[in-house]
Amino acid sequence: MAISDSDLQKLASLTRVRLSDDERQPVVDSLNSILSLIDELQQIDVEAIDAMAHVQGSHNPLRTRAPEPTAAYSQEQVFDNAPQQQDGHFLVPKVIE
Amino acid sequence: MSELIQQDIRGLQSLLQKGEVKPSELFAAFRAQAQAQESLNAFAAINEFDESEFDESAADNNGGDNNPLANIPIAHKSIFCSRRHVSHCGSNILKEFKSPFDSAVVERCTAAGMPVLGMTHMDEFAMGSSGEHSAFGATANPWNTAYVPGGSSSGSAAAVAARCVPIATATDTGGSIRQPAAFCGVSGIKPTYGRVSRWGMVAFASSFDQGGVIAKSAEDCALGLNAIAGFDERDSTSLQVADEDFTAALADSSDSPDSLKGVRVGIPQEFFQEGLDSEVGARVQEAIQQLQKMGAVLVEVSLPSFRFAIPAYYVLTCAEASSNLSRFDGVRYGARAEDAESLGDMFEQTRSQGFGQEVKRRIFIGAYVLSYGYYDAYYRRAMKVRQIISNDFARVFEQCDVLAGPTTPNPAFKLNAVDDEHDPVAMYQQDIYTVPVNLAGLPAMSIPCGLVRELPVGLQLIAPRMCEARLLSVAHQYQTTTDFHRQSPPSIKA
Amino acid sequence: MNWELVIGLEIHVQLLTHTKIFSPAPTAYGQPPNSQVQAVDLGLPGALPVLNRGAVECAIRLGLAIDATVNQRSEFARKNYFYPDLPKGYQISQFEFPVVSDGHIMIRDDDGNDGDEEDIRIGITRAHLEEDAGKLIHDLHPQHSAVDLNRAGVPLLEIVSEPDLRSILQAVRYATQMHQLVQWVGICDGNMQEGSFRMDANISVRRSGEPFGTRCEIKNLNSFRFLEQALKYEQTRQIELVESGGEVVQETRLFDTAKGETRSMRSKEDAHDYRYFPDPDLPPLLISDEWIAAVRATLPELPQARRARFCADYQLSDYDAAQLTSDKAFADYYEQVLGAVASKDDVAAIKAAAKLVANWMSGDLSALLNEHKRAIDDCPISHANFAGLIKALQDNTISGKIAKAVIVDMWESGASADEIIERKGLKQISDSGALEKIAQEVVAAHPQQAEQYRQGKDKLLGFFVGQMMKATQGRSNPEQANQLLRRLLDEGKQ
Repeated sequence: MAISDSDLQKLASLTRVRLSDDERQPVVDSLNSILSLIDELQQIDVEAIDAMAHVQGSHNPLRTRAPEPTAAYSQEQVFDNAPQQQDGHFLVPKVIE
Repeated sequence: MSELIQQDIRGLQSLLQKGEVKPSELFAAFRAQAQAQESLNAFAAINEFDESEFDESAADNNGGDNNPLANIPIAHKSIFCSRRHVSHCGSNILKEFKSPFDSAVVERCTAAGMPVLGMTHMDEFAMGSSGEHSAFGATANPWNTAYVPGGSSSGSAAAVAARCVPIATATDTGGSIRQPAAFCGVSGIKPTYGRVSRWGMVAFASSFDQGGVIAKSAEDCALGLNAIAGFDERDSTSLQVADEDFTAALADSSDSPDSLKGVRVGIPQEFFQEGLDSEVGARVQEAIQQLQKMGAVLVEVSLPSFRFAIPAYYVLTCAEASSNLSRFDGVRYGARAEDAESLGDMFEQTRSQGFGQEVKRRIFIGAYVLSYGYYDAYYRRAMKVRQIISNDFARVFEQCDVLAGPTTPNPAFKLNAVDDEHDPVAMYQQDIYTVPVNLAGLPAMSIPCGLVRELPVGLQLIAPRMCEARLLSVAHQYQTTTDFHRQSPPSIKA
Repeated sequence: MNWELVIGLEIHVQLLTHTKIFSPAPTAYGQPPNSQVQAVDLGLPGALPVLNRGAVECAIRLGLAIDATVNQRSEFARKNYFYPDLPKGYQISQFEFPVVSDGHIMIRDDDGNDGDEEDIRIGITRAHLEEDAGKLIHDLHPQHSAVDLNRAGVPLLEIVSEPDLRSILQAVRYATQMHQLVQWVGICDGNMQEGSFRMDANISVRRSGEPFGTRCEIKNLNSFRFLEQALKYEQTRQIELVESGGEVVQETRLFDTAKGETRSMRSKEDAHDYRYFPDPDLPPLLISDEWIAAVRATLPELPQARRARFCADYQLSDYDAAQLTSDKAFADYYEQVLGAVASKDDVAAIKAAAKLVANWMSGDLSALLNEHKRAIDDCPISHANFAGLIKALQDNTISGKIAKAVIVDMWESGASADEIIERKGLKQISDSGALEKIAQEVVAAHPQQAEQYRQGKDKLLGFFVGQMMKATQGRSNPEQANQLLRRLLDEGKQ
């Protein structure tokens, strides 16, 4: 399989990573070299194998937490790194629905 | 002072206990070295001496045995969140980021009384094998500054090798502890997946990432692991096992000529095939012969699916990374692009400006292998290959106790030598011997075993899950009969 | 042309837990913005999810209530997309392996023939756990949208029906019954204004007997009225479209509550490829038989079973039983009142009181609750007091007419029926001597009407009863008054 320029544009839109027109070709090339690496996977027989959902297998079943609350973050902790905020909200460019 | 910074942790603790050096003096000595070696670009930040970080009581109560790490300076890979330090993870997008909470690893080191000397540089989001993919400049190899230190824990390995700090934290997703440790001639341990809490460790590939340490010896690694390992309920993948003293198995048996008697050391044939630098192969074979001399039984073994490890690894880690890195959207924290015209524009500009090329490539590949119509061919298939490789290891460990082989196919390469803008795969092949271990979640180490062309070579040891003690014991016994781990870069001796 | 509707509902139920599904932050509603969040809810680097046991128990409760399979192994997956109210850039949900699958509920439906109703079975494909998103507010700022993450991470159970619903009435009945059920088993407060119960409807049309048509999904309906309006609009739109030779396009539509129309949200649809994959931060969720049994032990009698029991044990009509079991607290109140009126073992007494209590609860008490917009939980009339009222009716202490006034007084004062009857002197006059005297006075005072009665105008008896009630402020025993007046008037005939 190979990644085309239009595939890359779709990936860029899905992942919200913009590429300029002249950036795209080298990226397409490098992605195709990675693709040829991972395409080797098609050569191994995996018929008999159940997909392992987790590296720990059955060694570590999911633990659950007791439902008692702990203190929420202070406003300082919430907004210390905020690029833009006002009156207790994070602000983003207007969303048009 | 140069003698002080060459000491191992027990040596330093003994000096502290005897009062021959004060904690602040010890800190100052390492700090001075870190500053003297600033041109390596190992540190993202070097801290001032802060009295409140020192546990003076530890020196008074002769508690060295109880708390051998008290007042021993440590450096943290900047992937570990810390309230007091910028944890930028090698990325522009987190350039100014200060976490409101401490990672479990930082917390535990602080609880052990270890003052933080500084934060170390790394490949951006731990994606890289050379230390060149940091937004804040490449780190140099202290053995030869024209060479890379390896990555992604480039700063931690270089800092320990240059004797700027006795021990540093690091993380390993596909070799990021072992490979730089090998390139820099230091010891590094990547524990069993789930040993060290990932709480507060910026995620690259969640089912692979594992915290560990880089230090000058296996024994120092064991001490460090004692501090950072342990169950943490905040991490659902943290293993609920009793705390272990990893130094317990490190009896001093330097007098005993066959301290490894009966230990079965497996030699995976796939680790010595095409692609391995012949001189590196020779150093590793010498190390294996040394193990044999010490009583180990060598067993030829095979990992038949070895060659599928790299492709499976890149499918799975890129998939996880593409999702893990979605949170960097400029909304709540991190660098946001200015003058965005719309929300979409803000997302796209922020991420385009914030991430480096290698990170973007992996995000694209990750999205590709998960996308509609490709999931079964790539992601699901890679998950199955992961199981096959895991099964290969399980079978091999029925025949032997540990595996031994090279950590890397070659010694450190020159800065800018690998053109990964055009051919990233060449760089990926650097991790050929380390990646299978992460697929199976096993513990492994790299320890120095000699030089090739005046650059260090690493011996990799791999153990079954939860068998860090065995791993450390074999490494320690090797180090009691060899002195490769005591060698420091020529420039440091001067 | 005979058109048939095919509808399936996806209902998002906010679970009544004190903490979020993957974070220990509180879930209080109506708090200042961003005041109910911690590291996980902010999607901070290094923050990790840990599953809330309470949320899993809610899922098990629902699974048992809809006679479904509670899967012993289920899995959390990431649904990847960017939106400012989604802090991690992915929603943790369940995809391939949901916690609950293959359930059903029975709903009442018009059988189409004689106006009778019958039970029909509505299949429930699955119910899965997931996290809610935050909220985006558009009217706070001219150039910006504001993000509040208090709701981010609130646990949701998404209940997905089979496309088994064939009419708008069925869809609304299914939704209301599910709304009742989730409150009944205590997993949701049912508050639709606060968004605790939100519906998405999938609807298509087909000519009877033909395969399913292309469906549209109408998102985010938060009242049963909107559900009904949206389905009606969509039914007409789709039928008109097909009849005029057009084709329905599979898409997501939004219901405009002001205009009563649905409209396409195609803008949001273009690049939707959610790239689901198992969340590597969360191992599979294993639910043991013991856990399920423990939850089952705490499950209340379910509404349909209770309704059937009310019919059988209390000889209530199905209509009465349905009214009483529309809400668990209402049914509980009924049985508490009944228990206080008659001893449980006295079958005859229970049966005698059952209908009376049912009538007064469905009638006057429900009217009061509606008028004051109160739930039965904060009804100011205790069940003991309500039982007192019923007893006073049963032993003829008061008439039904007086009781209507007494119940209002009980609501306002919180006093018992006996206190009010005593205080206001409302006790029914059943003393025949006293009643006879009053009756004589009434007949004597209206000679003209008495004469007319005697000449055959029987209907005037009602007039005399009314006059007698007026004279006693309604306290005359109506049966006795009737008898007395008839006798006195008839006596005059001779």
